Amino acid sequence: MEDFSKINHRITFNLGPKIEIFDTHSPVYLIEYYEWFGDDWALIYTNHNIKAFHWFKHNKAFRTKWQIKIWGVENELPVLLTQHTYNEENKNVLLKFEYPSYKIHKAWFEKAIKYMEKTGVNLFIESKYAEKLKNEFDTNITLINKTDNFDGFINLNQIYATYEIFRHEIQSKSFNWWESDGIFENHANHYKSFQHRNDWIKFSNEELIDDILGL
Amino acid sequence: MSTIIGIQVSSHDTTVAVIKDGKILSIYEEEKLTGIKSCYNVYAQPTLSLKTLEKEHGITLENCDYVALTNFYVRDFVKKNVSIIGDKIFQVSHHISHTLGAYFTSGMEGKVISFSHDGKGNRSRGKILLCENGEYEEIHSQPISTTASLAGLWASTTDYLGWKMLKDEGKVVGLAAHGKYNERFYKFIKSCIYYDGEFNFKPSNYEALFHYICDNFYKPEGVFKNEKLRADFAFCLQLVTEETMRDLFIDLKTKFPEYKKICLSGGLFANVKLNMFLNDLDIFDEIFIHPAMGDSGLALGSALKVANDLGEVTKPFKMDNVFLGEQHNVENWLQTIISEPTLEYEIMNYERVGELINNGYVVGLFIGKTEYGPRALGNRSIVVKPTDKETHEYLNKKLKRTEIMPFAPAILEEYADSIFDIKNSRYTAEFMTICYDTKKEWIDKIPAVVHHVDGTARPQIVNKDRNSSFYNIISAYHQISGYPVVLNTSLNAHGEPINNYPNQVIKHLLDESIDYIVTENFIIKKRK
Repeated sequence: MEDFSKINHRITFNLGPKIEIFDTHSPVYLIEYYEWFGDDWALIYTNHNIKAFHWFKHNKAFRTKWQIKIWGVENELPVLLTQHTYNEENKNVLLKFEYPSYKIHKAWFEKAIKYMEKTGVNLFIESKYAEKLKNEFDTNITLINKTDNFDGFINLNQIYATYEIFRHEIQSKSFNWWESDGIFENHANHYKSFQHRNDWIKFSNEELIDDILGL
Repeated sequence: MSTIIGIQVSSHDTTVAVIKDGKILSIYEEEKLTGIKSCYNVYAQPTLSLKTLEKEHGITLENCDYVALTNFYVRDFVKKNVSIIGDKIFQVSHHISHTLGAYFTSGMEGKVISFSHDGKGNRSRGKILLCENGEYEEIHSQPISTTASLAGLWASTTDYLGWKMLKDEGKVVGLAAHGKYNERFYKFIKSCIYYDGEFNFKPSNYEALFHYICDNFYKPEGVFKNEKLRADFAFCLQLVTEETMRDLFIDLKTKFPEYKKICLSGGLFANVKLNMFLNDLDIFDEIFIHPAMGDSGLALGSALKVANDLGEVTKPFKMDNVFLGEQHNVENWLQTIISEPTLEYEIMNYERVGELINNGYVVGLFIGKTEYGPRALGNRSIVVKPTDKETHEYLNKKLKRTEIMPFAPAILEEYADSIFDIKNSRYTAEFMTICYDTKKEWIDKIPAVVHHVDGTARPQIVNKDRNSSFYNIISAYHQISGYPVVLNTSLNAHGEPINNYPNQVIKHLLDESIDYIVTENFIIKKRK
């Protein structure tokens, strides 16, 4: 089924998929997060208490293939109002680089160029080495100086997706303790956190961007 | 030949089953040993079951040959309790345990389909096996992530109606018989579940849709507190369940026309009205529902799988009976009686028991081994004469229960056809897993065991050889009253599992919820 929407809403993926509903079609909405697991969409989270002019955001912040559905009610029956599949082509995507050394920023930047070429995104990168990267690379990536360039402030509403590239705290994996019935969040894959696809403990700094963006 | 222990542990229905030299030796359900009813989120370990196994047979995890486990959770428990594991532990998936448990105990020869369905287990909601002469092939599994569960809808509905899920679904079945068709509920439930033509129920987000409407619209409106609407909702759920299962049955028969028999397992098939509906469709010549159709059947199923792999169980067989639990000997009883001065007893005599039933007393039977599965079939039963219309209310009050389903009849095998319309699937009726229509001329004669709305009953057919003591008791009542049938309900108070210990049932004598207890040797009553 093609993506569509019958209601006024906004779906963005800035540090996790966020659904905002600006419509009074139904007194309360059901939202569903599906993730692509190899050969099918798997339902990983639902919330059936979202009211009009409210928003909800899922914690999983690394780049993955989402499908989001919003259901309302018509004639006392549930009706699908919106289906949105993650598609970043020609959309604004922001990467936030966070690391002390320029060497790592440079390595990540090179990988980001490849990511942009492969996906067709309009790429924004926030880095404390923005000026240096601008001087070294001739690209159409918009570079923003994180610390001292306030003119680089970005209205997040214009950004489709944002990913923070650094070593996030490893969070609990306890949500998957019930191994035999992998119905939950990750379908029995042991994600170590909501920010990393895999446990980062064995990754070099350069590889962090591959993990978070799924390159 | 080997000794195989099957163990099921999950959030509910912890059970241990033992197969020795290709025969079922014993099955212990932890809830009956602890006295704590196993429902959702109990998570009991099989501690008492394994202790009882050692006490009764000297078999332990250490000295048995193989251990069959139904999930990883049990593996941790076994690892903690067995010093030498080696190659003796096998993992058998949830629905393979269900389907093979049902198939190998069905006694069905030739081509047989074994179908299981429940909420979930090992990433599946159900499986379909094609079986023939002890061999089987898995042709389908219903993956959790992309399919829906009929059993899941029943669990959620049970919860909305204010009962305990994975325990009180039978009450919803009972309530359904009091309801009427309601288009609004029917359309809604239909929108939450349908058969997809490929052996699955869909959509995968059925629970989300169900809770969305129930929580936000039906609950605030008071649907689940209104007596009529509750019953109508249950009625529609039963109707949609029957229609959805019918579609699957038709599809199975169309795709595998040479298969004329079917075995069913999984919690969904505790629904005796559904089983009756499926049987009456006549799509299959014979239906068999495993006596412990819920997850307490997994321990046996997993052990049977290992026994089959070893070549020790090669063909389906019929279970003689389900008396496979713990046994208490005469010394246990004597001790119990002597320690309680307010009790008196006489020597057991079948005619006397028949007389007591005929005189309207509530008689508890505590004979031989405890039953395996959810039904009391004569060893841990309460029996009452079936002829009084008021018995349902009277018994509920006396036993402090809230049963909605009518109580069940136990009937001498040779009279079963004269009272009930038993077309086929007789074997499964020995375990009280299916309903039948009652013949018109009998409905008013035995009102205590017939549903007053639709005239159905879920009889236990009692065979003289396979269930002799119960047969003799009903026979004795028959000689006196002319009725070859008694009311049979489980020996327990409200909220308890079927009672397993003398002191549990003595308590019921003392509080006068039952009038007599009958054991192999004694008839016990409270001293007046």
